[in-house]
Amino acid sequence: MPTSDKKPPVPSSHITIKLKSQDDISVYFRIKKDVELHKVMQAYSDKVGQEMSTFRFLFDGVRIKPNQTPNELELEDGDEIDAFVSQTSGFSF
Amino acid sequence: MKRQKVIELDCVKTNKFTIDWNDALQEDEVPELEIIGSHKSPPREPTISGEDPAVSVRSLRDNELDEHLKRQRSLLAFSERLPDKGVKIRNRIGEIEFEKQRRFLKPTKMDADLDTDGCQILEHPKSSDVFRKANTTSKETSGQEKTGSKYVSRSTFDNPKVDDQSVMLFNDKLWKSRTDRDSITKKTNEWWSMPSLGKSQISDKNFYSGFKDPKGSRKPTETYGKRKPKESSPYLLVDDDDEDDNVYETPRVVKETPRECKASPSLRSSCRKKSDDKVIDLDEDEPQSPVIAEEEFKLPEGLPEDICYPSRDDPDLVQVSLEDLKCLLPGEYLNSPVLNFYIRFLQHHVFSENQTAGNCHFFNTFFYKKLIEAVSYKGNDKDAFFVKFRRWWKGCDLFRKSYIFIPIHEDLHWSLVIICIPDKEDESGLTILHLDSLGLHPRRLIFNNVKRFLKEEWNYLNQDILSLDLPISDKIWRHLPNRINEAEVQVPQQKNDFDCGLFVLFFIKRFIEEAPPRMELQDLGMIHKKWFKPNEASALRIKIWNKLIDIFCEAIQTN
Repeated sequence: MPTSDKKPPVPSSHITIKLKSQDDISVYFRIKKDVELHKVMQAYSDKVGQEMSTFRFLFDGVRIKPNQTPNELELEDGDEIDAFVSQTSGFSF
Repeated sequence: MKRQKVIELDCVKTNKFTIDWNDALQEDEVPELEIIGSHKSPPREPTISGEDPAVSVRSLRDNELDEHLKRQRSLLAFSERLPDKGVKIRNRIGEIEFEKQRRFLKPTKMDADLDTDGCQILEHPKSSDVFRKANTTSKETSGQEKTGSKYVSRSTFDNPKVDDQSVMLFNDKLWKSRTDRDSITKKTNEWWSMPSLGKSQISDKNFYSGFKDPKGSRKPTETYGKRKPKESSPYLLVDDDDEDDNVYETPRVVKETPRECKASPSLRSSCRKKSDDKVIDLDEDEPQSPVIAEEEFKLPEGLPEDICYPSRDDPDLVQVSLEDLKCLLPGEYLNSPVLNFYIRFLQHHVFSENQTAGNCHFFNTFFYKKLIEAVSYKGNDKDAFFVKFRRWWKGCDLFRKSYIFIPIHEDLHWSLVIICIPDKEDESGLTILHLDSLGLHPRRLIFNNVKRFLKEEWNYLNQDILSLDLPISDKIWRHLPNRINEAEVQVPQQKNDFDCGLFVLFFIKRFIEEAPPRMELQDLGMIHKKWFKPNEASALRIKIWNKLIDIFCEAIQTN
């Protein structure tokens, strides 16, 4: 009997994706391919203790819409989503 | 790497950390989403300031932050003697001020306790506290909103240390043309009724920049920018030899009255070119008279929370929220949503018919970070990593473009890289331009990174291209890594500390307007120190504001 720590085999309906911020905090998620990605975004934001709106989630440079699913985006196992925080500018001399 | 226990998001309440997988599998139920681990890289190398700003600055309380800021500023007096001329200290100050702004926009739990005491406002002459207090006042007594805000204003003005510009935003007059008082009360929670920390920071920054008020007084009708050196204000735009008034636009208040300003004549004129008798006061401690200046930056009511451009269904949309609009207020630092919006807007609207633009590739503001990641990746699967990275420009043959634009965001500053790809007959090689309105970004390093990126891409394409149709001259292509020129171009410099984002956008705009379909080396002369007047770039602020307000207004109608 497997212990509770042991991972079960990943069913094909699921993929593992990585959400990565620019300061290199990565969180790995296993998600069902037809689940809307806002769940992941929310879970990531909760995990790092920030509001979801502070992030721009990009996959291959394209903004992810919350209602999109891994299937729609053709996400594959091991794909990486970037969580960018809004950049601001202006600097003194 | 720190592995964490598996957390099932869907059944956190009932079964917190232990999951009987046997059980779960029997039912053939794998949760639709679960966190299976997280990993934080070892702390980054210390930043130039010697400390990790994310940790050190964020861990400070509000008052500690202020003290810290004060200390750093006092150090600045000695900056000339330091080997780096105080760059570290300025960076540090920038970080602290950024953190202050961040907290202001999103008050953290850490400073929440300051809100509880009703008397706090008088004891804490910090604009953030003042306005947080103001919020609670208006929330509690919506009927007495007027009194509330007056109280705030008065007490604020009595205290010489308060940033009066912030207060201006809060003054009753700001809302005078509003008919519905109650809606104002509700909106005091929103940013547009909030003070802008950015401005106080700016005045603080200029405080140590050596300017002094020659007369020690100011005119009561002066508008924003009054604490800055005259050329700092994007709207005063005092430039004696500047004749082209028409580049300036007034901020759009309500769509129906695009260029009408209800402000008093004195206010109007102060938004325009103004005479040289402008008094710049940098002395923070001097009591200042309340002035309304930002009246014109009111928002029409009922705007949606955000807009998507070009449309909500566009696969490559940019989203701008009302909150983001704030960065277009005078003296504010432009943020990425607005930059990305305007780049898209130029691409799809202004230059939709432009041939040069049609053959350009525009990367978004986040791209350069990924580029660094890709070129500095050390893993064994470097090639695979680059292949993944290539999806950022999926379906686009970069070397067939004539120009590639890469906005750079580092150290709270924006600059721009343009890669010029020559005509197929031209054998002068590729040229990288770096346009920096402050000369702040490390040009060598940027050139290096971009070169490595081009080399990687060339490497990748070389695997397949063989004798196929080469995008550029065969001679250049064969030795491409050695045929990339770095052009040392000088560009107009911003005269303040907050317009770098506008300069990047203006660089793009002017470049497309003026660049030949394919750049040749002799054409590079078009970019020079006096390419355009800094005012023209600064004036873009109002244009973008107006455009966005229009789009927000349109969004109401379509809804």
